[in-house]
Amino acid sequence: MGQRSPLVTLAATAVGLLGFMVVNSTQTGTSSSSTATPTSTVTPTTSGSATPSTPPETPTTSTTAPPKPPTVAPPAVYAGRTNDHVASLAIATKGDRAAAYVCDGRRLEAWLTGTYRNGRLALSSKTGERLTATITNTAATGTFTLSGRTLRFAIAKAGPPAGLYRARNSTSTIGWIVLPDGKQVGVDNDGTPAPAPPLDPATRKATVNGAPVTAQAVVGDETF
Amino acid sequence: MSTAQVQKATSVAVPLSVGALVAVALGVYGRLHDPTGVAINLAGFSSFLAVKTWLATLAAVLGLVQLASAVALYRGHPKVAPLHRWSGRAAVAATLPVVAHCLYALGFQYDEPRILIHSLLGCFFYGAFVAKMLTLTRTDAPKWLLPVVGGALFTALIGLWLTSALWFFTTFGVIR
Repeated sequence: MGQRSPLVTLAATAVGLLGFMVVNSTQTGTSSSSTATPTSTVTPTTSGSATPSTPPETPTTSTTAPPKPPTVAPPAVYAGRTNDHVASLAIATKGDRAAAYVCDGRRLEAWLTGTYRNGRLALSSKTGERLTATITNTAATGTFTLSGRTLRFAIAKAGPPAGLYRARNSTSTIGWIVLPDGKQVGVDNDGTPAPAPPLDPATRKATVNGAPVTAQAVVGDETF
Repeated sequence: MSTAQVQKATSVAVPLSVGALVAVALGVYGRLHDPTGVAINLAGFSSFLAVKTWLATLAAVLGLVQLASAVALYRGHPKVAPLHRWSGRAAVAATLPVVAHCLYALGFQYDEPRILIHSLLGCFFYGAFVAKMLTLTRTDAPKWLLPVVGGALFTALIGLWLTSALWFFTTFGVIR
């Protein structure tokens, strides 16, 4: 009887695993080169994402807030920084849909979409980042996970001009988070993420590589 | 110790220690390799996380077939042996794209209890798989060894499913 067949299975499994690891490593070329390349030569923008500022007021009482969350979220935008100030994020909710953008204003960014159910947000990006949060009328509290790191946040509801803006042209996608204190954080991604040029929040216009673009406010039911 | 005893001891020790080495090696690789965070996406699925979820679910179902067919084998139905072999091979094959992504893109993590348990079980699963395959090749192994390693393999697989796919389904809904 097949004394050897388990060894054959074992060998086939090892070869299969190795094959999939190689397939994975070929995927690194596009995505990780763009995230691993330091963009030190890029001129700093006026958004000044590195400048420490007063953190958005974090409602500490929010955890005890509403006893029964509504089944669909009222249209709202939450914006602020992660607890460790590594990145900024904005979340827009509309009905049972939600969209979010997380970026550090330099080279890290993620566009996420997902659902709102019973006070809970669950969002994911096409590249594997995840965001979960509990939302109340005034705040969103939760975690953002990217390639092995977890960033926690507690951000407040924000009214215009604070919010989340997105613009696309033929070569790049630009995301801006306008924080409640008026500061902007954004990333211009044409394959290599770089700091975004300043956005005029009144006209929602910006100039990207010499060409004007108009940004749209993200409301939550986008699909990206 | 007589030669027979030594032989009996090695028939247990060799599969188990090789399995343990594989488990530790996977864990060390998962910890040392810088997670890339990249994901291949498959058409028809919302993200590779969803692909992994469904592959893990397929593997878990095949794991149930494994359990049922193993019970039948021990009750004296040798007819199910090919089913047991091939469902096992299929189950492990289904996990390969999943583990490749886990190891390469995410790595061994311990931020949350769920993730820690999942990482540990993932390493343990392949160690148990290696131990089981090696046990099968040894006719001199004691009778209890095969059901023990097989049971460990099944338990790890179900634990992996509970800490990943079930979490995904309850968090994001049953989506593709």
